[in-house]
Amino acid sequence: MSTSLSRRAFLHSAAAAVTAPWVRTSPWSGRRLAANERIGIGVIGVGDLGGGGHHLGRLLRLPEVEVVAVCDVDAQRVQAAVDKCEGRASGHKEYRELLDRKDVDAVVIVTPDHWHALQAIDACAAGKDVYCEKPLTLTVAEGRAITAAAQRFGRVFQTGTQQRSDQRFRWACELVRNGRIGRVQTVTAVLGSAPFSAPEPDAEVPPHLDWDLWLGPAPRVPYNPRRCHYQFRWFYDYSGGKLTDWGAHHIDIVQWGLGAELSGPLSVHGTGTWPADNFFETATEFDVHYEYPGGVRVHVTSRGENGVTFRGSEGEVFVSRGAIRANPKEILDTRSGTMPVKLPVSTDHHADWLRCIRTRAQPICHAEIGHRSATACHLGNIALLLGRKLYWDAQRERFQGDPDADRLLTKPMRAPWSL
Amino acid sequence: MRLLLLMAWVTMRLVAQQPAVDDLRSTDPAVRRALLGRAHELGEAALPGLAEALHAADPAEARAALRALERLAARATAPAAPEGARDRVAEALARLVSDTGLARPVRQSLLQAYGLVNRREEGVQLLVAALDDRDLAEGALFALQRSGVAKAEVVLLERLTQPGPVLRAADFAAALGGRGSRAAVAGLAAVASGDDALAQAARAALAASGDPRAGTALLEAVRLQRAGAAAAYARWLESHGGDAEAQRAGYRRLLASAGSPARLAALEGLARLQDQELVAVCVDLLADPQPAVRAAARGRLIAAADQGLTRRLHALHPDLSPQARAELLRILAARGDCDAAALLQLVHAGLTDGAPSLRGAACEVLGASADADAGRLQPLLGDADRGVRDSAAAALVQVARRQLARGRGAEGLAGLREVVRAAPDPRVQAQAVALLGQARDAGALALLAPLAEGRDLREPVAAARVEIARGLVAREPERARAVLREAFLQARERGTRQAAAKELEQLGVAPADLARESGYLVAWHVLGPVPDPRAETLGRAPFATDAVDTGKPVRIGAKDLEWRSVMASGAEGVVDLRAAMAQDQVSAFAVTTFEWSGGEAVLEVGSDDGCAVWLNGTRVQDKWAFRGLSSGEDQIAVTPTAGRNVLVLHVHQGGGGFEFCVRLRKAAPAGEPARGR
Repeated sequence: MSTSLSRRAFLHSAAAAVTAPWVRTSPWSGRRLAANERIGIGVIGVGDLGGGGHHLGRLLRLPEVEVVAVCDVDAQRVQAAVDKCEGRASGHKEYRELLDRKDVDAVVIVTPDHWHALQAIDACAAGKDVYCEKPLTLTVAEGRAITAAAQRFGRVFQTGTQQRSDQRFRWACELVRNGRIGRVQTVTAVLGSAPFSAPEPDAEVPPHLDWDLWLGPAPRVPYNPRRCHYQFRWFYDYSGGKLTDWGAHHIDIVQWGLGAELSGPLSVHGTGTWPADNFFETATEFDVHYEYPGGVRVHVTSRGENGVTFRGSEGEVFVSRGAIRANPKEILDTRSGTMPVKLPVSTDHHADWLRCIRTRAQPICHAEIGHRSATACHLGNIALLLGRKLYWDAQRERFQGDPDADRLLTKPMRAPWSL
Repeated sequence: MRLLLLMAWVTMRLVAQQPAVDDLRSTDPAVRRALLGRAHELGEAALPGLAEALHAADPAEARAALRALERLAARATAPAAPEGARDRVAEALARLVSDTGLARPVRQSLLQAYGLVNRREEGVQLLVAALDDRDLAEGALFALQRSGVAKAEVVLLERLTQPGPVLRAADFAAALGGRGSRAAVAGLAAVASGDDALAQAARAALAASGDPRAGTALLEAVRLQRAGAAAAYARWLESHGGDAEAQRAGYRRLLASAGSPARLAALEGLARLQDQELVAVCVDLLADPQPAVRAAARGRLIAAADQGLTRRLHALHPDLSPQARAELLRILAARGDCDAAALLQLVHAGLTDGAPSLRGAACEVLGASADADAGRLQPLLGDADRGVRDSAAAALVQVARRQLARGRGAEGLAGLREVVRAAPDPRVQAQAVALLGQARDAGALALLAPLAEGRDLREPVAAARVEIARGLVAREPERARAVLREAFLQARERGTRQAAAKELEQLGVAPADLARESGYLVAWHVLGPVPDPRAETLGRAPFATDAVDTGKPVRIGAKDLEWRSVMASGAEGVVDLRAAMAQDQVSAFAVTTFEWSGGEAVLEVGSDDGCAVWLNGTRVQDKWAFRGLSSGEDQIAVTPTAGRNVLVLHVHQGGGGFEFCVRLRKAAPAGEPARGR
């Protein structure tokens, strides 16, 4: 072998080489992880969910990761999370500070929905892989921006719809996709009703909370404890109520079962109930009707047993957390993984993401899937607000012939925030 | 006749269900409220009543009126709305926006509803005036951004250079970006090369524009090394930069620009286009002063499917700096098509090189090599450089893994034990522990015992203990039981606990007995479901929590609820409330008693969803959370009374699972680590 090839000669030969096809097209702008190296994690939002057992508690128990930074606009929560990490993680109020850290390889975003898009896009641009809680977005436009960022920056992106990593849901969807219930005719997704709250007066902002930063891109309003931690999901400026809170889970399963996870419905209409003395804004009860390709009618409702029921010409299957039933029962004789159409397998949503961070594969609920699931939820809320039937063009991501409805696919952001 | 009666009845029912406008002005607040939630269904006829209700003394009524007006405005945009109705709704909203008797947030919300429904050019004037009103400016800007009226954009452009007294120019730039018309682009391009907030906002907005002027403006900002300019230009190139050749030219301009963001963006873009000079570009960038740029180049060279590349890279090795040689070593190994003997020669030389970066890289590469000699790596466990020690340990784990797979068990286990003893990095130790478990190395149990209490190794050791115990079941069942019990108490991962419990069950230890032995409280009385649609009763018990008489019903609302006796199931003592109370937005109480010999204790509580906890009438926990069950998630330090104690839980159900589990353990003495979970 020649050892005397000069750098200049090498470059010359390389430049003269035939067109070099590139195996990967995803950029490697983030820190390279050695096979044995722990993944440095930053958790953005360490409230009940982010700082609790589902995220921080679990991440701290995984030997292959190191939680190196936590972030929240509530200083009390930051301190609690730092304590939980036994001082190994640095605490931040500003998520952009956390993204600037070189030891953060990936972030888990567990903030209110109105922050997801900005934080996820900034994280992608900073070369971090992302696990973002559901619902992925506040608007359809935000979802498209997130998918573009994940693709552009070659990031491994997991949406926190962990039912995809629950074998019962995968099993149910495989049964449907393999025709075990015949031709699918209707699907019912029961999400449960949304809560009600008596009025609560506005209050002084607690000294440990940066309320302006909590609001971020949302309109400025006085502080009210009932708008803030956890309860934000019942206000349209920050979330979409039960329809996005649980719809992100169950509508995701509906679309998985129908094979519509990368497209969406054809039309949507519905009715909702807004009790007059409810301090919360979102509909407490609702019935939203979608039509999917193939004439499948999907009813998303607040009433009934929580779960998803697929009904076909030859039977039905019901699935929820902890339960799967079928009629006739023999449908369940076919186990998951034994049918011709096999869906991707994940038995642990975090582990699936971490594995993909090393392999650079697509996680089970990547950004496009999360965006499409959230989109179906948003369409439901837009239909409830407008009170009319809307026709959806899933490819263009626009309504058909309804520019006023189109304007609700985005939401202005309070400066300096913008997509 | 029957048919007529039926029709009359149906008609009456329908009429009864229809909201009536007059009810909005009823003197009975209950009647008004009943209608407010549905008033939007009445259309413009509801406007006068809703306008009055906005001024109601009761804030709840005023808020409901506002929400009804928002829905009414949205529905007025329906193509099928009556002629002129939309404009009349807009006019009514305009009047309300101007009503200074209304609170600022109310007027802001009305302004946005107005922006949605207004379709007249002259109607924009209301929004323009509001831009200079401190109370309304933000709402006006939102409304203008989303407005379907052309004049709205003219206003935003004017304000880009003359923002007015309340909002900043950057606010208008961001709003214009959301519109994306040619006029908007021209306005943004004119200000995009600065280094202030306005310019940054303009650049972000331009990246999404298909107008060529956006690209020109962004490239100028790249030349000036403005923040975010390179990424914005690359985004613009990708989406709107023309055909592949035009995009290539754009990326080459980026590559020649100063600043690492520009080079990174260029590399990404050229790779996306599969540019034929990318290899040469990447080799150049291996010497880049910025680590991120070097890493990106390395990744590309590893992934390049160019047959002759490995040979050329190998030949280049001696010419480079130690840092670049280390990079190149990794690249050659990762590409997998390098001559094995030649690579090994480079690696062996690297192990004794003076530069730690090269020694570390050599360890990494050797660890991955099928021809690795563990004897060459072991001395590096004592290297002066911590990074080299880490790399050597990790490599030894890889070597041991292969030795175990090839039936050279003794050598492999010895290597792994050495790593567990000497590796500086617990992550590497954890991998060695896992492999010792997989190999069911009972001889390692003594080595593992002192590691079980540390945070880093607790879970891997617990999992390894389960595996090792499986190997002991047949020949030493008593020892296997003891090891499994340790693992069950030690593990926090549910999967590990369940695996230990399952093995123990096969060894004759019933899950219920295991739960009791482990300190789980398994006998409970539960009460519910307690309706809690307002999600605000958590932590309020309608009975004395220090002496609960489970024989007596509890009055809640208009109902007397009876206590029911339930037993927890499984090894983790889980009480499933959903079976008995399959409803959302409810809660349930649970009570149990326990005897305590004295001293401090820890209550380990897991619940789905949040819960409040009382011990002998004192509330020791009030945790509002929507969460799944995670045994031991809440660790509550308590001091039970010597003798009998009463423990009460109040568990909230927001949706999905509805269950809890509680374990009681003695608190660890000061200075001693807590045992178990």
